[in-house]
Amino acid sequence: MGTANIVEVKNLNSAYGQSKVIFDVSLQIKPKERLSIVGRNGAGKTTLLKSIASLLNPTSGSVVYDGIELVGKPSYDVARMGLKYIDQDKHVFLDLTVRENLELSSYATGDYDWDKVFKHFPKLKILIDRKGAFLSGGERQMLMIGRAILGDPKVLLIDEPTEGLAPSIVDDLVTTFHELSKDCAIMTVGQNLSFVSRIAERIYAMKEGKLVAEITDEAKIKDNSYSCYL
Amino acid sequence: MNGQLLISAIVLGLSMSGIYFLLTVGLSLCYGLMRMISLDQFFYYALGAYMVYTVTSLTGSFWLGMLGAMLTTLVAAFVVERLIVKRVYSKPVMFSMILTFGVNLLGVGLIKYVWGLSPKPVASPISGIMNIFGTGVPIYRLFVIVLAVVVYLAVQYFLNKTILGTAIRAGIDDAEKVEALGININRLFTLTFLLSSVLSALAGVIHAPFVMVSPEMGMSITAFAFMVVIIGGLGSIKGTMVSALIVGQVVSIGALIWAPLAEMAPFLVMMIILLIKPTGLYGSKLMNR
Repeated sequence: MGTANIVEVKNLNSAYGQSKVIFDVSLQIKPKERLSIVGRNGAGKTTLLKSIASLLNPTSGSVVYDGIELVGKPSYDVARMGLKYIDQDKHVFLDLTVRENLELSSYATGDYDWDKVFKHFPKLKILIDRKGAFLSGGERQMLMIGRAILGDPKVLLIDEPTEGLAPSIVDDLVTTFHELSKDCAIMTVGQNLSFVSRIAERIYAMKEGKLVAEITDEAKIKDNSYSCYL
Repeated sequence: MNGQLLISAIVLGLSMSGIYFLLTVGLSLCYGLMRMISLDQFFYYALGAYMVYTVTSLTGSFWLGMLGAMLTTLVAAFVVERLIVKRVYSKPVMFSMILTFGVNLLGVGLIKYVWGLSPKPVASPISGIMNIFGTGVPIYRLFVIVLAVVVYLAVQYFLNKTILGTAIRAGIDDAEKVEALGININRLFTLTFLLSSVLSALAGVIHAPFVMVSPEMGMSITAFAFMVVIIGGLGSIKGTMVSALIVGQVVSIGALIWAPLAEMAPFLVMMIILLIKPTGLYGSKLMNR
């Protein structure tokens, strides 16, 4: 690849039918960095994440992950390669227990080392036989991230990780994301600026399907000065 | 009402329930996972019946016929899935309805071409009568009931105790998220379609000794099959079993009370149940994909 970036997105365009949502987006994700994309509702943040994860076929452009072009690859292949997408809806498989949810991820990745999941989320060990339908929002988020880290992914794309969560859970997530980023890059999208300022090392601001700014200055990240782009 | 007639009707109803269950469990799974209405299952049902007729005629063994029917259907369903059905997995449900109805019509035409128009008899592989509370009941009917229960338990075991079954249950909930975990959902679709088709063929096989095997036999059972699926709740195996039990008994005991009730009463039951619970007995609100 000749670059330090784990993900290289170039001139990405995506649409739902005739409705174009993403316009010529180019961005990079460095290994083990914590990156956030901020923007208003409808800015195209989720569409961008889904396009990178191959859950949505871009109309044009390129997504290179670890030297491999992802556009056109099925999403299950992309996930197995180590680029995982975590949806914003906190939807775990409701009829499946925590154990079965983890088993599915182990089956897909061949990684049965659940200790790494329980290291970050010890509560999941206690809830192992509880069905997804009976988990709280925070517990579901733990399970979704827990499932995703099986297989030792290199990149986690996490959509609105704090949506609907209690402040104490959000505090825990901040710690968890710092821990997780020792092993993989994390890109989140969202509007919770307080959360973003606590986890992000770099920020892209997104507006009407375009990236309008990149903020790398730590002081600007900490004082939320990028909020002017929203 | 005569007690012996009632016992006879209940056993007949239970055996019909078994056949309905085998035929509809596949329809329910196909809708649950792939959101498709697989009308070609009625072709596999008829194909199963014709294959058991042919192999039994050639070898004298119904059991070999059963095996041959299931294997033939497996191959036929695989060809249909690869060439036709897989193209409509991600399309709105109307596509699969129209396309698989076409496959069904084509299949019926093929059966007419190969086996002709005249109905074929298949002898019951198990003769003999068992006495239940003074009523003679054909042992084959009891065999059908036991077989349906065994298949129900096997399907439940597969879905709840194996990793592929767990993946199918997860896919019924949300197929996209199964893919996001790294699982090839299309392989699960193929597996489910083939499993459904083989069970439909098995329904045709065990129904064959009850009826004359005819090209239109799949068409004539369609309404009852859909009633079972709708009453039970789309995508629910338990619901399909319970619903099959209800419809079997309503048809059988309804006929005992007044013959036309056999045709009318199941529709009445369906209407009442849907008025009370529009998603069917075990239909889930999760089914919103």
